[in-house]
Amino acid sequence: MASRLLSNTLQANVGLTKQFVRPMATAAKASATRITNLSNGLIVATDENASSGAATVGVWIDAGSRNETANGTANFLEHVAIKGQADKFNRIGGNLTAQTGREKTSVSVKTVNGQLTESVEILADLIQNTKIDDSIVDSKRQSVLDAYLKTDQDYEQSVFDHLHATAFQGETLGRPVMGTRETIEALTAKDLIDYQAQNYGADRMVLVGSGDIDHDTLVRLAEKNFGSLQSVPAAASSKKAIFTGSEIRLRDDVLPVARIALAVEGAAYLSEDYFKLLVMQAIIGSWDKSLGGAANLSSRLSTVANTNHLANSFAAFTKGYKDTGLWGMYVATENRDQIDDFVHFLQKEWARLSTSVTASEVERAKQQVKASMLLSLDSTCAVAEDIGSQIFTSGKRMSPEELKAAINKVSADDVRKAANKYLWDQEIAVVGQGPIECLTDYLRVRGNMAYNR
Amino acid sequence: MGGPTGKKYMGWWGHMGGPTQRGVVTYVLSPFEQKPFAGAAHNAVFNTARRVSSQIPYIGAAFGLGYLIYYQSNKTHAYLTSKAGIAAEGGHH
Repeated sequence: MASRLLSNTLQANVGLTKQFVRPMATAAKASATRITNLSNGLIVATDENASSGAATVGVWIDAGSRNETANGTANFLEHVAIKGQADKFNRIGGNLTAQTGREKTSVSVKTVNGQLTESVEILADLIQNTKIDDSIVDSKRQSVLDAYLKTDQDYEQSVFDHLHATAFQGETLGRPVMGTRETIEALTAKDLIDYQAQNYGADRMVLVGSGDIDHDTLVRLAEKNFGSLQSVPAAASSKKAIFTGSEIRLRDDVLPVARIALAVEGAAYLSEDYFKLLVMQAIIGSWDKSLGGAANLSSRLSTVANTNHLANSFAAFTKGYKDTGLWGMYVATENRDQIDDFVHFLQKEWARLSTSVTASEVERAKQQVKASMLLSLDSTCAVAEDIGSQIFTSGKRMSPEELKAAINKVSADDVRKAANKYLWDQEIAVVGQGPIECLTDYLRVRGNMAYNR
Repeated sequence: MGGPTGKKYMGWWGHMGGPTQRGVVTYVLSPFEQKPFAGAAHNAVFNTARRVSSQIPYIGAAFGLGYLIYYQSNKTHAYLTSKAGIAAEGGHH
């Protein structure tokens, strides 16, 4: 009903304007992602887009720090694997990117002059033929430690690492991806070899192509280069990661900015509830005091924060993993005397989601979610990342129409029910870093997750 | 305006006036993730017994001394008011 209300001004003019419209754009070839399963279990998925001018091809592996035995293995292995390979790609005119996450690892290369054959060859070599022995591990250790030490100054990353660590305490999902200084120094070649043997299997990988690539060519190259890859024995089915309501305070009165993250347990990536949580995230919103429209965003919390200078910036976030997720708020503030005010108004907004969220808010949030999801697919690398993430979660890649349909299905009633399920009187994990004397006591925060009315 | 005020000993949340804190990490576990009466029944029996038994020397000594005083006093009083006692000691008012 609200969507009709919001768009009724357009309806009146549509009939009149249609006859004056001259189509200027060439209709794009509607292309779904083409997926082929090879005989050894490897999946090849391509999003063909001949007009993109570039091509990204990469391998996404369904394993990350969550599957490690020794913390830091996945990230270390990625460093060892790409050692020296970056130059090979520079010579053929490509850009190598490697990322290790909690549940997936990726190595991808972006080229502009169609060096597909060479790229796939080098990727296959990287994945399958990495030489791992103690001398190589020791020589790479310092550079991994250097990369780790650099992230020490990235306070936002550190807050989120602590958030995962406390929310999923005791679970492998709670571990930091890079590991810690102690774990990096303790890693051995055997750890890397075991991890690779257990996780780098054909059935756990997808070869993704995006951009100016022909799917059949990619399949042929995959059969040639990855044909000998074996599947790995399926891991013992892991139980759902348990979320623990808890708090970590890293108080440091010397720092100028306090960074706080609060999160409840969320939903699995791309599950039905995940889309509802995305809409809830858009309703709460994000804000930065330096935005031009800082005083006039749709987020009600941003109006309060802007008028009272409660923060430098805040952003609601939704994280989805295979069987669980996080949903919450991240705020950075210099106003160390009013952190409790911010948390108070934040929790008031959260309570509104379960009680009096309006249909027009939900409609606006849905539009924002659709726009941000689809507009973020603006490069071949982003599209490849999207394909890689989705294949292992749902076995296929949702087309833009399916994504839009999934978001459109969400109604105000759905949002209210989802908020009652995930927010109302639910356990919460809090992490504070910096001058957080004023951060509300944990028991109060937990108590304000529901109101007696 | 309101007259002279004394020295301020306390600020408010965010600037309480305490020493600059850093380097200490605090952990909290939600009360709903804990069992508030964990071990209550077990402790009601065994810990209570231990605590009581550990105080026996003190209580026992004090009680014993007090009882000894009471007992001796009563005995002495009974003797002093008896025929033999009056004959031996008192009787002269």
